[in-house]
Amino acid sequence: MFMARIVDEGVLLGDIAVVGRIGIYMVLTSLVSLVVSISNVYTSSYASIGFSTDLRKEIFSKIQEFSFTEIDRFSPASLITRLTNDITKLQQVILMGLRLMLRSPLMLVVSLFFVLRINKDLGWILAFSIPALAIGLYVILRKAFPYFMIVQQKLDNLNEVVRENLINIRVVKFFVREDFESKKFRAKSADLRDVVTRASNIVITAFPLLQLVMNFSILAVLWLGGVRVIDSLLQMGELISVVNYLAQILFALMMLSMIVMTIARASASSERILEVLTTESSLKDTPEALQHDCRVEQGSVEFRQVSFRYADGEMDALKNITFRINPGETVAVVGATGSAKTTLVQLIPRLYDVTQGEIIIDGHAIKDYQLDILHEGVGVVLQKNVLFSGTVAENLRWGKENATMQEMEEATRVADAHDFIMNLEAGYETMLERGGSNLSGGQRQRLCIARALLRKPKVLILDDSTSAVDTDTELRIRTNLNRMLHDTTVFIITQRLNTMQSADRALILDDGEIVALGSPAELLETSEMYREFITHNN
Amino acid sequence: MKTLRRLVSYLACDRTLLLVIFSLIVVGIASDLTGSYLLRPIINDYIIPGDVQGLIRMLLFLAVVYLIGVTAVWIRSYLLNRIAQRTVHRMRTELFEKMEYLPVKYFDQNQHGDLMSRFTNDIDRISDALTDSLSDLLTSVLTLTGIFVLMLYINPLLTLVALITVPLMILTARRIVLKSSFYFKAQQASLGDLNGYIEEMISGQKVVKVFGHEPQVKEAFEQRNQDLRDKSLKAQFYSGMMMPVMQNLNTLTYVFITIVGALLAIYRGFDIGGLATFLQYSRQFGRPINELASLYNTIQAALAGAERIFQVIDEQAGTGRCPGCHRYGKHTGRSSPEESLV
Repeated sequence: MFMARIVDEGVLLGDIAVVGRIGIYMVLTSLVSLVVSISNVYTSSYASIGFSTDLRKEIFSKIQEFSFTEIDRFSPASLITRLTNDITKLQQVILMGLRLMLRSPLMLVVSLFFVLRINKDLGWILAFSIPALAIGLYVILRKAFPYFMIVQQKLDNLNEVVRENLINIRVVKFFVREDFESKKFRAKSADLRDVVTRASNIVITAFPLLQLVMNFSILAVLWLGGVRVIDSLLQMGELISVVNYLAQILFALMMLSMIVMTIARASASSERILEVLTTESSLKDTPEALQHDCRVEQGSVEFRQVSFRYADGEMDALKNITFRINPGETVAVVGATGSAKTTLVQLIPRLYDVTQGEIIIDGHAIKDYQLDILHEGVGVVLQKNVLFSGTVAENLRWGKENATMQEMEEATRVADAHDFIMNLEAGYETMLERGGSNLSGGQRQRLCIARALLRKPKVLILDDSTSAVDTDTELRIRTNLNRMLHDTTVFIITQRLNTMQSADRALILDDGEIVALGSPAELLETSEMYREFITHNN
Repeated sequence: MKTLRRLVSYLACDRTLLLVIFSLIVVGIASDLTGSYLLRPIINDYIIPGDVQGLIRMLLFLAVVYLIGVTAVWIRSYLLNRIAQRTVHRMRTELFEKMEYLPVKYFDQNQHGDLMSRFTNDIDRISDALTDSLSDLLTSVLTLTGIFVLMLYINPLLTLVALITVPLMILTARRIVLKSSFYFKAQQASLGDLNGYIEEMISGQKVVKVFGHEPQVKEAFEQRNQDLRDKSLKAQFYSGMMMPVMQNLNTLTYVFITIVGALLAIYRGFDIGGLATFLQYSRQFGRPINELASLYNTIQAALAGAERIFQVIDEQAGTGRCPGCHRYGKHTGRSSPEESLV
């Protein structure tokens, strides 16, 4: 606009003062624009990054609530991708959107306004071309969306391959499978490459389309405008202005089309994130639980006709399990591999919910306990011994937040772990490398036992927790446990005969059903399987 | 910069395709600039004198020029897309292969999630840069040169005026680059750290549950989350400044040109058509500068990501060669003696 005036009023009339004055206006406007732009950068960055930070927090909290059914459903790798990669893609869209989305339509509207002010007929051209462009972009978006969904899924797959390799790197190296795994990865990577290419091919049509529309708009303006100038219906400076505004509009539309392309790419991401957010965890505090405040005081555990099937299972893993364990009893859970011993004990702290039947602790259904209270009362040492990055002491404190040195030592002595900890370079302050890999399997197991003991639970579950420990150490631990935990109900999954024989009772499982339950003496009389087991292990 | 050169070397495998793209870009720019240049004769020789027939002819010619330009852009986008994805695939595979042969100790000492982040988040930054930025980069540089030449042709004095702000632009740019690259590196590192933590916690979800450790885990997560936020904000802010600053320096230039151009038209008889075209060009001069400035953000992030990837690739004494072009020796790195495989 200023330029039009400079040309028409200044140049054509030879008035230099006008040129000077308008020039100063232009500089001032430009400076204002600078200040505004920079604050735009700040606020848009703040908003978009704040958005993604909050979103990440939300999703991570959601994932913490998930039960394993949900985590398995999404797969850990996919959850990780969604938390980082997908959110970043969304962030970019918003960032770009905030920076350009307001500015471009604004520039568009203002330019349009000025064009119409100069000459209404020329404005009609734009009224035609802009909607044409909008329709084109919409079609592109719609076609691209499903492709980008697939892209993110392939990214999940890739992530999964990497993750599995990282977890199982020792196995890979032992079997010298590096080459094989590399080929597998190469295939998945090529897969991803092809899908992304196909998806992007759709999106890249946006810019040429835009160019086409604008170019023909310019042609139309030159024709209609030129004819009008010739017929003296329009001034020269005005025509030049319109052509320049067209350039502005082109720029604004280009920004918009870039946003559209980024939106196309991020649309799938937003879908995936919503998926996580809208998934309800299948394991929650029931309304009844939230009303009561019962705690685990004695530790009696009862199973009433409990059956369980995994979410993707075809058959029941546990069938009609019924038994009652009194407080303070030590029960050995025995059975062949695959007889669902771990499944059974994992139901007690509600890591999974039963499909049929009920589990009662201290006279209350476990669903009536609030989950965190339940977990305080039921301690678990899982089969897989997971330790986290941090010092030994930090890991132990997972059992009790503010455990004193004395309390920790007490627990580690029972688990026969204190000695080896003191032999580590920094004792309790030794940093554990990723997952405790600078410790041996047996050492890890003992640390995990100590961690659970710190909790002083009323019910303790030991899932094959001394498998990596030698028999002497195991005996020591068992003796300590018996001494310290005579008030605690203990479920101990074991393959070892002497563990079984030193328990109060043994529960024998076969193929998900109870085959026998009783004291070692009773079982010797009544259970053939027990007798078989003894002969096998002698 | 060293990382930049190394990143570019991965593109070298598709040399011929790049040349084709380059020529297509030249075609595109030529059509763009020709289109703008034609304004001068159209205005001077057909509109002002009132030659309607000639006008129609010129417009048809212009239409052809435009069509050539659009087709060139389309084909080059398609080809560039292919190259970008192929390059990314090469980098990804090399990263994995190099990583597989690293000693077990490396995997113990590095967070799995952080390593995973390099495959996804860091590679993604590079992919973005190659797809979005490469052609725009080449186009902008070529366009700038082309416009400059044409401006010189129309009016050398005005061109000099246009160049006044260039040194200032370069100085400001350098300062912004320094600050933002620092923060982009910090951002990617923080993201890797966060990824690592997430991976650990999701993998150990059962333990988190049985120890009721969710609150502490969420808190530790939030700490890292906020750290990422902090670094990202700074990175975005500094790099985001590039565009408005450059844009406004350019508008200032535009103002100077307009004033001086008007003076020339009044006192030295500079033709209106020429002034109009010159103004059009100087506006067009602004576009590539804007593009470069906005691309800058993407490129910075890509370089930060590339560095992290090269970090892993260099763990083992290697010679960053292009795996697709040559065969490289396999190295069976057996792990250090250890007690258990579990």
